[in-house]
Amino acid sequence: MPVAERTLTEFLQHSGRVLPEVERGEVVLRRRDGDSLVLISQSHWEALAKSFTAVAEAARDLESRCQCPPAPRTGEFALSWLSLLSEQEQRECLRELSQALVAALADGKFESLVNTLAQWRATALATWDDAQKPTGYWEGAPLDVERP
Amino acid sequence: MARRDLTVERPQPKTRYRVLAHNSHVLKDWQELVRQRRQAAVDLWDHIAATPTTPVGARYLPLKGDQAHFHYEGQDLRQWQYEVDNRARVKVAVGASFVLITSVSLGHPKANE
Repeated sequence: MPVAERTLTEFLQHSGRVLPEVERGEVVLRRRDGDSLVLISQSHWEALAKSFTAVAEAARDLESRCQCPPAPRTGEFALSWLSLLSEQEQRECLRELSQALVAALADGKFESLVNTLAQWRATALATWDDAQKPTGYWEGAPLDVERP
Repeated sequence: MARRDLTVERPQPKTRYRVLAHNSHVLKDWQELVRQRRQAAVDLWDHIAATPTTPVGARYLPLKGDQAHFHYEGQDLRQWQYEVDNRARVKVAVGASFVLITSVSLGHPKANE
């Protein structure tokens, strides 16, 4: 079912018309100055949080129990930069993201999840950058760098 | 009576950290970055010279895994990365009184979103 869209003004002036739509799913409230907002009922949010938590914990359980060799990759990574990390770091990254996701869903604060994602993405790019450096790039004595 | 020199020098920001390049290769890459993206390089320098352990949104962050530290003169220094834009990144390692630019990279992987 497509997501319902209203303007924030419509919601503020005629909330009685918009609230029944919230019972059916999320409603996007468009604003003239700023990001759109998403209105969602508490029970819907709790169901979403519970689902994400279940998926994250299932993925973690599966990884810790599975003795099988890694399955061949059948498509692109959902996070395209993940492939730039070593296999061990890919697992570490996903483990941290799962933990951060579960914590975020528990307390409603997503900043830690966003930061963790950004740090691992930066790490993936740094890893790729290092692999492009020529032999001898890391040798030599330090030099002062003046303000440009 | 001789005229006094009335030239007003550009004020320099207060810096707490000495900024170093790891070696001449890094310095050369840094100079290329300055040539291509001068203002961004100035902003980067000002930030790392004053507050190298303060993140800047998703632009300047501490790294993880094997990239988390840089071994320099017997110490493992915490390593950060400043993303100038999609095609330029600078890694720095933070010491007690200095910041070491460990690499400057101009380019992007195909897998980069």
